[in-house]
Amino acid sequence: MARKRTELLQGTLDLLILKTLAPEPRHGLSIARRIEQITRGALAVKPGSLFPALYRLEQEGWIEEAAVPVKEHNRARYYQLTSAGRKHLRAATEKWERATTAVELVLRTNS
Amino acid sequence: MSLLQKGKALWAVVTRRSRQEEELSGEIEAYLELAAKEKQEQGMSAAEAWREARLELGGVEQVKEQVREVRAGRLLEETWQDVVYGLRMLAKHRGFTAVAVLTLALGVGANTALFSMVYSVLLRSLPYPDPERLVFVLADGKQGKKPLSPPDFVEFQEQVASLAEVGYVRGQWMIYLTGDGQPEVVRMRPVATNFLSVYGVQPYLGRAFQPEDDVVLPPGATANPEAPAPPGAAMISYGFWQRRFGGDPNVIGKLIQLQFEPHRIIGVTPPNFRAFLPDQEDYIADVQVWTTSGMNFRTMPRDAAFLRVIGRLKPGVTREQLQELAGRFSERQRSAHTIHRESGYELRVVPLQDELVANARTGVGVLFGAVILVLLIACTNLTNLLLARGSSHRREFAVRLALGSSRMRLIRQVLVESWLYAALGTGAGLLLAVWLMRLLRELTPRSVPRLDEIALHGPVLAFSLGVSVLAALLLGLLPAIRFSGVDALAGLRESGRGAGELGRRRQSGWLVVSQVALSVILVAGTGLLLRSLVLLLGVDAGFQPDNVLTAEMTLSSPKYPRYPSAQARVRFVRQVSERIAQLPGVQAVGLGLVVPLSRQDTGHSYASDAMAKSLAVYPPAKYRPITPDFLRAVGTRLLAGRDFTWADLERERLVVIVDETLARKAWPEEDPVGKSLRIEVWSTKGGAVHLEPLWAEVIGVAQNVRSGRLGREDIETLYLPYSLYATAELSVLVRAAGNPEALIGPANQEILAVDRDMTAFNFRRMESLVWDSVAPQRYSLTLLGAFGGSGLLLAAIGLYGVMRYSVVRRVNEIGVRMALGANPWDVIRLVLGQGIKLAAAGLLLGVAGALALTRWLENQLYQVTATDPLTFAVVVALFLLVALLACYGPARRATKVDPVVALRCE
Repeated sequence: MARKRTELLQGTLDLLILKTLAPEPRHGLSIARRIEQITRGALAVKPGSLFPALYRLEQEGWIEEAAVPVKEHNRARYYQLTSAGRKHLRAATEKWERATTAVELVLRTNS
Repeated sequence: MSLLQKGKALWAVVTRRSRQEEELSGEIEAYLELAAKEKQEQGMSAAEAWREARLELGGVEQVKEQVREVRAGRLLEETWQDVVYGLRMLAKHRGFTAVAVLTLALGVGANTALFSMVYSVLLRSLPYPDPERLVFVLADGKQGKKPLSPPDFVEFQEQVASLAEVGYVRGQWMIYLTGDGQPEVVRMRPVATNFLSVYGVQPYLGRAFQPEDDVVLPPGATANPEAPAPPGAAMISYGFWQRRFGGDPNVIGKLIQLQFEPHRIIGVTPPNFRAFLPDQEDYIADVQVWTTSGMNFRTMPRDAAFLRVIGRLKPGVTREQLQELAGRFSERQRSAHTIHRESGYELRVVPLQDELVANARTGVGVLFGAVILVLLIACTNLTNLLLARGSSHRREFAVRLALGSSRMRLIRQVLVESWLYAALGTGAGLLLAVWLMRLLRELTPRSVPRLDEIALHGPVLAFSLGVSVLAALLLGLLPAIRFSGVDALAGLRESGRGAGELGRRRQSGWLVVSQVALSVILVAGTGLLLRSLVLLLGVDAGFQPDNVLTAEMTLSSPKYPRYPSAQARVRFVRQVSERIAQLPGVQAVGLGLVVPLSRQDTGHSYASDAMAKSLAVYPPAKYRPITPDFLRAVGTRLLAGRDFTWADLERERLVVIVDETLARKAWPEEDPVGKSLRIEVWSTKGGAVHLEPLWAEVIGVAQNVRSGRLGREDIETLYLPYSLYATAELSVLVRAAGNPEALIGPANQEILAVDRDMTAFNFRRMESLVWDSVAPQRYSLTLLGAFGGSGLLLAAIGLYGVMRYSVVRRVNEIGVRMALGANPWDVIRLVLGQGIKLAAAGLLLGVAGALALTRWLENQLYQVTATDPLTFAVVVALFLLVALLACYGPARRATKVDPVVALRCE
């Protein structure tokens, strides 16, 4: 139903997830809470968007299941970046920055 | 995502699906629990925390579903689900499935069988190299189309040598083959020496004919032992080579006797080779021996037209060019020869394949029309069924749409379901088609070329699959699009009453009416043909075919000359007769030229004393040379006088037996026995062979033998003693006390005992002759009957379906009626009434249509008019009965409606 909205944000959500996973492996709830925390509540990622995104990223090969010594919940699944994922994160970040700079330029000019 | 990654993901999904599901469940469970724990730590109570956590999650199943949608192989998984679901639905609604599959099978099967016939007979190119270069040359004129005569052929061949290679094929004969094994009767055709190269075929073994092989034998050469002619050349067919000579390569050079004339085998034609020519009576029987003509064409009469001319265009030459040349040739012939000028001689050059199939085209066309009718009925049936079925889908779809399913998903599911039907229907249809093709092969008259070749060839299979794919698409898309629409809320309501509903019912009502009407037309036609056939078979034919064995022989050995005296033949015939008569179980034996209902016939004129004096032209009669006891063997009664005796034959007495018609015409009101009759017989007195008039005494009158052929007037018959008209072709008739087939071996032995070289062939029961003579009628009847039957079946199914649907929809109405005091019989009457009304409407239309259309059958009917009231009455009664049966089920179902339940479901 809310497919359109997801499409717009899909690329962005992927970027956020990848960025969140960069420093250390996390499980689903942890990722959502982290994003919420950093954006100071502006972006609340619902599980209905999060989990499909996680699965997609896994299929693309950018994240993988992480073997963690101690788990918060024994059935929780921890994810970590793959090397391909790191590369993609770098490239996607660059692209995002270029895009936003361009948009800012347009918005600042008096027309 | 790269292809490799996609592949890996797909593989993972397929192989580890259950594990993935488990992991997913666990993961979401973990999320839920951790979130609840988190909220508890923030100060909420356990219950509140769990509730909040659940709200945040948004529903475990929904999330899972969303993940599944993203997972690779989703399409595959969903389609697999659809297939399983579809199969479950198919099994659940067994009645509907059976009907739908049956209808589809009928449609696909009939279509495929017909197309295979069209393909094999009409479309498929002839089995020769470059078949489009093959042409057929015929002579058109005032008397219609004819073959060419020998001198015309030779001249034509020379004129067009630069443009085309032409050859000819002559008629076929059954002749004796002796030497090197058992004597045998074979099928032989004399041909031009270049006939193989015209067809473009190489011999399989040995060589083809050369011009030098066409040795012109002087007349009477074989009878003169002092100047034996060199052996002629012969080619044999592959099948014959395998069967008689065991595929021995040393067969080349072997000497055989064909009709007692020596021939040397020079070659073998390739396997399955057939010389296709237009207008043959029998395309199934194979030619076993090919020989040269051995005639001097240039000196033969110009009106003896018996050469069927084929030609192969040289590279770069078009048919039009050859036709132009033929036109100029025809012009020259017309100016040079009176006979051609008077008949408007015009040579036509036509493509061989076109000419070959010209006759078959109309037959196939009629079939096509009938198949279209049945298909129409089948299609309307299916549409009806789907309309009924689709409305049950409606509720389900509405619910699923409301729960968030995409429209595409629903459409896909319906498509999968309809493809399942199509797959089952096609499978069944192909089986039906194979069976139908076998039936067609057996039934269709042998005069249709290449019919024995129909099979599931590549193009036919492709056509069949194409039809079923189309059917599946149509069947699926229509309801899918219709019922997955946005009107979900309306679908949720229990009883969809409204204008749309009524319209749909009226639609399906009209469909049933049209089905019934179409079926009535087919069944009426069938009924007429059936009645006609029954009458035809019941005709008092004037002979008794039960337990009679017939066979044929040809007495053209030099041992049995016809001239000057036929006594050698009479002796042979007498010996055979007496020997066979002594076999146990034999009641009577006769030999004669013609067996009733066989295709041979010979006739000349006759005249009584009075007629000879008053008439200028004498009327014709059939001449039947027979031996004593022939009439008893064939079961034709003698009404007056006596039968022939062997004394009559040996003394060559001038006596005849006439039939009732002849007696009445020649001597009205008088006793014919003892009167004189003028007849004509062949004689060589005075040199050449000619017809000589004789006066013979009438010694008996026989019962009339009716040919029973449609549209044929029976002409008078007179029976002569064999001695007066000793033909080479003979039929043997043996009347047995029991099973005549048991006598085949012994009878043949007795004949061989009289003469080792004389074998009889074509042993058959006379009853089969009778049966064969009505083969065209049987063919039409079977075809029309098959279509009529399927039409009737489909119409009945359609009626049943509509009634059932109607009852289901009218459950409330029925409930109300029952609650108001109606008893089961009233309900039955209600339902039946509706059904009968539909059937009656269809009957009315159908009968009107049939009365208009059956005139096309008139020339096939024997003693039955195209509007025969008895037949129509039976058809109407049949349809009413079938309608009653079809409505019975739904009517009973209606009575089982519990008014309480029905009313509650408002």
